[in-house]
Parts: sequence; C-alpha cells; structure tokens
Amino acid sequence: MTRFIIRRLAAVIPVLFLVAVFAFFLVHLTPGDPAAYMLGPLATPAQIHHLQEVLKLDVPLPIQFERWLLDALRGDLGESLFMSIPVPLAIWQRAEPTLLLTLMAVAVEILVGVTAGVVAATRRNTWVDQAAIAFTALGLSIPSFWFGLNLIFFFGVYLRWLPVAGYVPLSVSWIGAVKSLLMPACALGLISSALVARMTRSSMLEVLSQDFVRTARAKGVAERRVTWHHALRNALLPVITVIGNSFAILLGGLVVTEQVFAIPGVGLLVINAVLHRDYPVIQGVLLYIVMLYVFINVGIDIIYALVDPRIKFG
Amino acid sequence: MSATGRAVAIEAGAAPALRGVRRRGPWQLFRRSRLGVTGALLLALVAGAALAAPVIAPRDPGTLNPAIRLQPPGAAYWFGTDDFGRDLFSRVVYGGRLSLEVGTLVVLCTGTAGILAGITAGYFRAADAVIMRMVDALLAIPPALLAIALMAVLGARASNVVIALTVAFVPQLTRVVRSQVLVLRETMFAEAARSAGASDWRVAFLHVLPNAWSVVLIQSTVTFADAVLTEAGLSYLGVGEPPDVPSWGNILSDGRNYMIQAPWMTLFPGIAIVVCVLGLNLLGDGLRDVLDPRFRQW
Repeated sequence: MTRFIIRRLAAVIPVLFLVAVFAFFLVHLTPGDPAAYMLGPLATPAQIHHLQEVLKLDVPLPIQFERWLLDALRGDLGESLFMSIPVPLAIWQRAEPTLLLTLMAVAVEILVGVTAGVVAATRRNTWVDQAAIAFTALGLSIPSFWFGLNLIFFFGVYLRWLPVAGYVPLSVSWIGAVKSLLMPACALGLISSALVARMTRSSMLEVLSQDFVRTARAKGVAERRVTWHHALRNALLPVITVIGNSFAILLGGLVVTEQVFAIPGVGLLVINAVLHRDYPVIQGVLLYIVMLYVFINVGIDIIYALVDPRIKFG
Repeated sequence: MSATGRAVAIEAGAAPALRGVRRRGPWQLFRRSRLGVTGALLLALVAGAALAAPVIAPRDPGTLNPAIRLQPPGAAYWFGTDDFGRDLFSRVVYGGRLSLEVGTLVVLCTGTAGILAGITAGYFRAADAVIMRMVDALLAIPPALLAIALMAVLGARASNVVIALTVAFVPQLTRVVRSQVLVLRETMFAEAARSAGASDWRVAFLHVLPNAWSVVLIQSTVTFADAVLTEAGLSYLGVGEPPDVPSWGNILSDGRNYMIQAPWMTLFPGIAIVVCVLGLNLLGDGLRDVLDPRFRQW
C-alpha cells in the first residue's frame, strides 16, 4: 500500500512540473513586451523598466524560468502587482469561503447525484426514471451562473429566505457562513450532480442484475437494505472516479459562481487579477488550484484502492 | 447488378420483421432514438434562427433608443428591451449566431489538432510519451480556469476565445482518439493493410481513422456543448467578447443589474443557452446510442 501511494505521488511530479512551465510561459504569451502590456498604453518608459525589474524580465528566458521555479518551490510566488502583498498571502486570505463552498458543493453533488441515480435504477423505465434522465440532461445543459442568477431571484429576491449575495466569515458566525454559501453550493453542486446521477444509475443497473443481489433477496433481506447496503456499496466504485473528475467542473465553476454571488474567494481574486492584468496572482491561483485538483484525485485513487481489494498495490 | 437482384429476391420472400432488422442503417436507427431527434430539432431551431438572423430580427441588435428602455416582452418587442432600449429578441438571435460560430470553429480546430495528436500518439511510441505528458498536464487544469487564464494574456476578442477554448478542450479529444487508435491498429484490417505494404501514415489515416470517426463525432458534440457554455461564461465574466458585442454571456451580464426591474433580460438569453446546449447534448446521446453499442443504456 505504501508503495502504491509513493508511486502515485511520484506520477504527480511531471504533471505539476509541466503545469508550472505553462504558468510561467503564460506571461510571455502576451502580445509584445509583458511589462508594457500589463501597464497599458499610458505607462512611462521608467515605469515599464521598473516593472521589468520587478518581474525579473531583464535576464534571458531560461534563467528567468530557473529563478522563478526555484522561488516557487520555496513557496515564493512573487507579489501581487495590484495589491502589493505576496501572492500566497492573497490566496490564503480568500481561501476560507472557496474551500467551504467546494466542500458544500461536493456534498450537494454526492447527496443529490447518488440518490437520484439509485432511485432511477430501482424504478427503471417508470416515470421516476424518465424524470431522472430529464434532470441529468438538463443539469448538463444549464450554465451554472444562469442557474445561480435564477436561484438568487427566487430564493433571495422573491421568497427572501437566503441572503442575495456576499459572505459571512466563519469567525463571525458559522450559521451565517453556511447560509450565505447555500445557494452558490447548490448552483455548483446540482449541476455537476447530473454526471454522478448518470454514473450511479448505470452502475446500479449492472450490479442489481448480479447473482449476489438475487441471493440477498432470496434469503429474505428487505428490498431497502438490498438496494442501499448490498448493491450500492458495490456500485459506488465507478461513481467515486466520476466525483474525482467532477472537481474539474467545480473548481473551474468557482470563478463564475463567486462572481455571481459576490463571494470574496479565490475565484473572485483571479477574475479581478485578469481584469487588472495581475499576472503573478493568475499564475499563483493556477498553480494552487491545479495542486488541489491533482492531490484530490490522488486521494481518490487511494480511496479507490482501499475500497476495492481487487486493485493490486504492486 | 446481379448481387442487387439477388438481395431483392431474398427480401421479397423474407419475413417483414427480418427485413427491417437487416436493412436498418445508422439513419433509421437514429430516427428511432427519441432523444437524438429531439436534440437535432432543438439544435435546428437555434441554428435556423441564428442563420436567418438578418431576416427575422426586427431591429438592429446594436441600435440604442433610450425612449423605449426596459420595455417588458410584448407584441412590439417579443423579448422586451434592455437598459439601453435595444431589442432583446434581435440581440438573442444575433447572440446565437456568435455562439454557434465560436462553437463550430472550436470543434473544427479541436478536431484537427486532436485527431493529429491522437493518431501521432497512438502510432508512434516516441511521440506518445511527449504528447501524453502534455495532455496529462493540460487535463490537470480545470478547462474553465485554463480558458480564463489564456484570455487574460491574449485579450478579450472572439478569435482569442476560439484559441483559448481549443487549448482547453483539445486534451480530451486527443485522449479519446489515441485510445481508439491503440485498439484499431491491432485489428486484422490494419494488419492486412500493413502486410500489403502500406506505410504507417497510410494505415493510420486511410484505415484506422475512418473507423474512429464515430467516436470523434460523439466527442465533438460534447466539445461543442462545452464550448457554448464556457464561451457564455467567459463573456459573462467580461473576459470573452468585448462588451458591446451581443453574445449571450454579455446580454446576461448586462441583465444582472436589472434582475428585479427587468427579469426578461436574464431570462431569454439563459433559455437560449439551455436550448442550444440541451440540443447538442441530446444529439450526442442519440448518436452514442446509434454508433456506440456499449452505451445503449443512456
């Protein structure tokens, strides 16, 4: 098992290295001189020269990359050009709502997706099943930000149940924090739950037709227990992989969802950085999000190996 | 001629049911897929409106008229008007044009790059390592974030949206094509072509690729749907098309500030996106039912 984990972690290194290369060269994709592009047409030559020095653009490219990578490995991702604070600090200050939102969205995704998938599979070819199929087709087609706007309109403006926008920090009130993130978590989670529901349904259908399910029924196990205990446990394996992959949608969707609900998280940080051409922040957020995504998936692979004894650790 | 004559003769004597089974081509199968046909109809609705935009749009999508600000939907303005008095129906119809243009270009660019990269990786061991490491790295970046980061350096323009979305979606297609190639290159017909003296490139493009076509087609509908969704998200965030362009995302972003006074400003462009993307997704599901027997379930 330890060897499996080490091998899985080692496989991450080339991926992260290439993403770092990409993040570094991103700045050099700008048309013309990056410093001049960032400062805009009104900048003086002195300002441009100063920024070139700050960004260490005045040495050959390979040396720039070497220095940048060594700094990044030490956790030094430079300073935000717009806010004048170190990039890791800027991300850390906004991590709380983003992490909490991700957690809540995954909870919504699993709860709704698995339940819908199981219910659809056990009532195959009934109207319940058809409704679940329609739900997943619709879920994959609704833009999460438009869904979020509709939630705001209905629950925030019309019913006045939940705050329309903004975020209450955990240190102030944890109920307030959860309440302010409930709508955005649903906007993100319900949409990605469509994929989970699809996979759960087809996986459940396969498992329900197997011999051990018939055996369980034959020896008199209650149908509810057969479904949720015997069948679901075996059907969940492929679903775990889908949940891992769905983090790509969740983490990408964060940016637009935080913008819609005005949540001061990492997503809002990156979109402000894009609008201000604050490249160190864009690079930093990119690296942090990718690391989060990659390590979540390593974790999921390990869970997968723990849950399914058929997977060899060798 | 004689072969055709014999087939007709057998058929005349065969049971009607059997004939139905034997003669069913992909088109007949597709017509039986309710989901696929619904999707094709929805897509045809959006594409028809987009293509006919200059004819069916009652007004110019960019003409400002402060006298008719925030008119609710009615006989004169089918979808109402926005905060500058622009006709929303015209804007949504022209927005469809833009979305479909971007989607089509992204599918063409992704298709070309993904097929070339996938075949190269599947066929040449040396290239495989390099291409797949790059694909792995790109797949580790959430597509929406990748597109946003690229738009930050390229600048907000429609052509750059196409570039950003192509880079974001090419890894998925490359992976799909490669896995198909790895299977197909070991088949008998590829082996036969090889032993007849065909070069690797000839086998790859004339024998393997035509058999991977259905998978490329299915993945392309997914790419198209994702491209339309992500494009709308980018322009909603203000990093897609410039704000004066009537794209669905831009119209939604304008409407956000008027959600209480003028909910129709966010309602109609949103519905347009859903109809378009739902059409594409259902079409993809229908094609998958017909072309890929492994996915007959859903």
